[in-house]
Amino acid sequence: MNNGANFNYTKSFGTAMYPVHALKTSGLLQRAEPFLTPEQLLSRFLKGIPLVFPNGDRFSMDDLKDRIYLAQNTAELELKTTITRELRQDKLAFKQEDYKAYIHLNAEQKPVCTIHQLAIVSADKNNIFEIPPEWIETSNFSKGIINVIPLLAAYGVNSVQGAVGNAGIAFLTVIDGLNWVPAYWQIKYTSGLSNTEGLVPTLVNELVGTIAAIDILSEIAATFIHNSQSQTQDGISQSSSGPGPRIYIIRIEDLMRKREMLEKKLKGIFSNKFYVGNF
Amino acid sequence: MRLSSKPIINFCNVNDWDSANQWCIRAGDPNTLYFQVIDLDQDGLRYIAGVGASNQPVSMQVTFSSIDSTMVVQKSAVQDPNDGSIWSFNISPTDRPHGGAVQFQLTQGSSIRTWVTLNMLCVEYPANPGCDGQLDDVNVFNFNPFSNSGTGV
Repeated sequence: MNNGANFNYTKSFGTAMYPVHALKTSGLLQRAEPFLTPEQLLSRFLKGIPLVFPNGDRFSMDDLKDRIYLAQNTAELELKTTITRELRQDKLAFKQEDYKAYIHLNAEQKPVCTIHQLAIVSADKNNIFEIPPEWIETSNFSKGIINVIPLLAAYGVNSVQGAVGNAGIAFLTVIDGLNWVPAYWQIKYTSGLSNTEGLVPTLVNELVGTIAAIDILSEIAATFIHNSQSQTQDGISQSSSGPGPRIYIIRIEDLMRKREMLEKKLKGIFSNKFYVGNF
Repeated sequence: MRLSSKPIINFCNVNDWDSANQWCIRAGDPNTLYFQVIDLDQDGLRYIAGVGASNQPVSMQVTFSSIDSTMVVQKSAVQDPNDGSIWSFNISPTDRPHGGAVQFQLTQGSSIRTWVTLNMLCVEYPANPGCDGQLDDVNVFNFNPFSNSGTGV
């Protein structure tokens, strides 16, 4: 029988994903926008660049839309998260030290938008004990950190809303002697870079546009195979030289630097950075 | 035959409209959105649904999906009487579709065809431009797009 106490439960910190922890914004500056459009890709990143190949082929708006779609997927890969909010299910290890530190869990995907279940689930998928949602601390969701702080129930005036099931409390005391269990805590949560579907932080669009522009420019540049050309007829000659396949190299390098910077900054905002040293 | 949809903007009549890369709307504004059904296997040739008795009745459903099942918006589109390849539907101020890919389902007689058009809708949020929006920290609401994987004890 499923105790199902909190299956319809959702809990979030109640703030924006970006700017992180913003509870209210003035509306004077825009920081999130719809997905990048082909027109924006052209005006922001490719202005002044003829999107034409030497053989006459050209990038159509449908092509640009397709490149944006590819770049969005690349950006997700590089940022190690999804741009849109998606539902996840992980099983995290039990670690004695984490358990003693208020069940300090790191979700595989960061940042966490909402949590729907935190439970001890057995390998045969039996729900052994579901942590009361009231105990789940949400303030570090932006870093993917989930804590369980049962102080509310201990000292609060209200009772915990029907989630403590059967042998759960007894089970929690038994595991006190364990050090490590590889797959123990099951969490169901949504993670992604935006609370509002179809709306993304402007900087994410900038990263997507940068990735798409680099790919487009390098594709075009590779077809400029001649560095120099000359023509002679009846003693009259004309010659010209150009950068050949390195035609957009400076622009591409600028975009590469920007891409690297944006990736680092966005990862810094939405995930933890660990420094390991030998002190 | 692989059907797809091409967004139409500035629609006046079947002889006066512009094709676009996507619809761009503002959340809360009333809108009538138009699109043309095309066949990708015929270089984007327009496709007129419902021709012939075996293709009747004909209907079109447009779905704006969401991770939250309560936020999914479904609309029934109406075929233009003067050009069967053009369809339209209304977005009321209370409809809150999310931007991104749009799903289509065309039913002709007993035949059902479905397709998705990438990034077909762009929704601007003029009321809250400073962040990506907040999710209320509420204890219980009807967000339940998944089924219980555990059998419980």
